[in-house]
Amino acid sequence: MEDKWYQLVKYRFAGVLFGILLVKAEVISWFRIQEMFRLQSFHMFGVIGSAVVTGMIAVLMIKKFKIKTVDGESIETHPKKN
Amino acid sequence: MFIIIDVLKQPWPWYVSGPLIGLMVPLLLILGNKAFGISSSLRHMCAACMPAGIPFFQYNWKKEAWNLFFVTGVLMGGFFVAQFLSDPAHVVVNTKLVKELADYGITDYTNLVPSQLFNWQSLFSIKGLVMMVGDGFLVGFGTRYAGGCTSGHAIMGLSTLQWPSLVATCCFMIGGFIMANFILPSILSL
Repeated sequence: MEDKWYQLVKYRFAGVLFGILLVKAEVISWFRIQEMFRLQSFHMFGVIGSAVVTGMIAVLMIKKFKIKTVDGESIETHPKKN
Repeated sequence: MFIIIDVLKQPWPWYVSGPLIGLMVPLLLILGNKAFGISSSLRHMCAACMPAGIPFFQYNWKKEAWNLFFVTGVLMGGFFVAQFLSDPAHVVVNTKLVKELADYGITDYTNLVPSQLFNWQSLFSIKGLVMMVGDGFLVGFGTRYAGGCTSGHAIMGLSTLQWPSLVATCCFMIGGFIMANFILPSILSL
């Protein structure tokens, strides 16, 4: 199903939110990335780790409580394809 | 009000920003069953602009238009922060890193990327060309070869408990470790 443009606007807003987060968390900072791979700071590992844990709990809850999308569809997570 | 804005202007600690990033996963699922990811947008852009008869690009990219809306939103969000919510202080990193980078002439911490490495003049030097064009090529190649980037594999893939994503995430970390510690020093010395 192709979305209409007005249905797509909500993803623009989600993107804006994510963009703000990326900058404020400094995860797109070149300096932070260098620091992470030199194991000189916990910051990046903290961000990624807590994001994954939060995402996992959220997906588990969506499945457990059978939460639906805003349009009433049931939520499915598909295996990643290459 | 001003206090809130002052707090928002500072960099957010990992225990605030990390969980919020994690919440992007359920947000996109609830908004419309979308799998969180950034780099697939590169594929959609190719499919939309120059499919060139390549099977990998022969699919209904319009169905994935949401992803392009999302990614352009990310750009707008980043722009918004840089204009209105940025921290006047510079990014604070480990003093060991500051010392090491100073040896390569990197001392400017005002931007997200070091302006001494990434600027228009250096684009025409070997070092700049390797770092900007070479990196861009590797990002494009790597994300398609792995079928995702940090968002799609590390966040979305691990959240939905997928083995391939765990493998991909470990490889990202190993790759980054090798690049930052063993390869980048010689590129910076160019």
